[in-house]
Amino acid sequence: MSSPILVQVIDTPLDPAPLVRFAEAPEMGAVVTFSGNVRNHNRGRQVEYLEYDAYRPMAERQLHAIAEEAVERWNCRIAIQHRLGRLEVGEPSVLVVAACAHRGDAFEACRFAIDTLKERVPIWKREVWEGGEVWIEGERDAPVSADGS
Amino acid sequence: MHVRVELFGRTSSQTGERSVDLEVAPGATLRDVAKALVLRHPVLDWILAVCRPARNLEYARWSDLAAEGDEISFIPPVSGGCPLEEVG
Repeated sequence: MSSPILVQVIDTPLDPAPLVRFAEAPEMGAVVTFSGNVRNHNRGRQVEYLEYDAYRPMAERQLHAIAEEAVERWNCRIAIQHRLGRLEVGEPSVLVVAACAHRGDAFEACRFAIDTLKERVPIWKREVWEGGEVWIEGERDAPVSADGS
Repeated sequence: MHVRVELFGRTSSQTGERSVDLEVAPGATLRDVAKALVLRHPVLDWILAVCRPARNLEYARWSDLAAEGDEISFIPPVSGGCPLEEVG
């Protein structure tokens, strides 16, 4: 069987269809897709757009480690893509597709991958709204420029 | 010895750089590398309190030794919203 893992950090719009095709296999009866999309509001602000930046080689390595752990724990096939650069409201920034024999494992593997990604993978978003911008660092808003603006 | 520090996100936007080459003494720890980076770019004085260090693409500890040619970075909390971990 082909490798059960597909992991990519890319600069172009995301499409779940090829990831679903990658994950599907005759023995996999459940395929769960998670799409994280740019929300139009955050912390009381009307979001105009997000700009994603990454420590790309480390992000790819950490994504691969997460996928390996998911395969180990749930015997799944899994595809994860994260997009970088400017994203408009409604666009997907991250996709996770997990395929397992049964749906319980597929949901768990997908949930594990997206939750762990958001703890560990070095990717940040700069949130821009009318009149301001911040880096989102965990629970904090952090200044973008050197003078604290 | 020579190390390269990779910058991204806030560390990049505040300095205008994507990487910084530094000379540090043999036996330097990742904390020493961070201090050398802050000497070069004082605007990054927050990294020791906020970041987790990484060495050659894996998370590491501040007390870990750097080695010649290492690729080092200081990782702020990522955007997913996890609480700050122990950074000592």
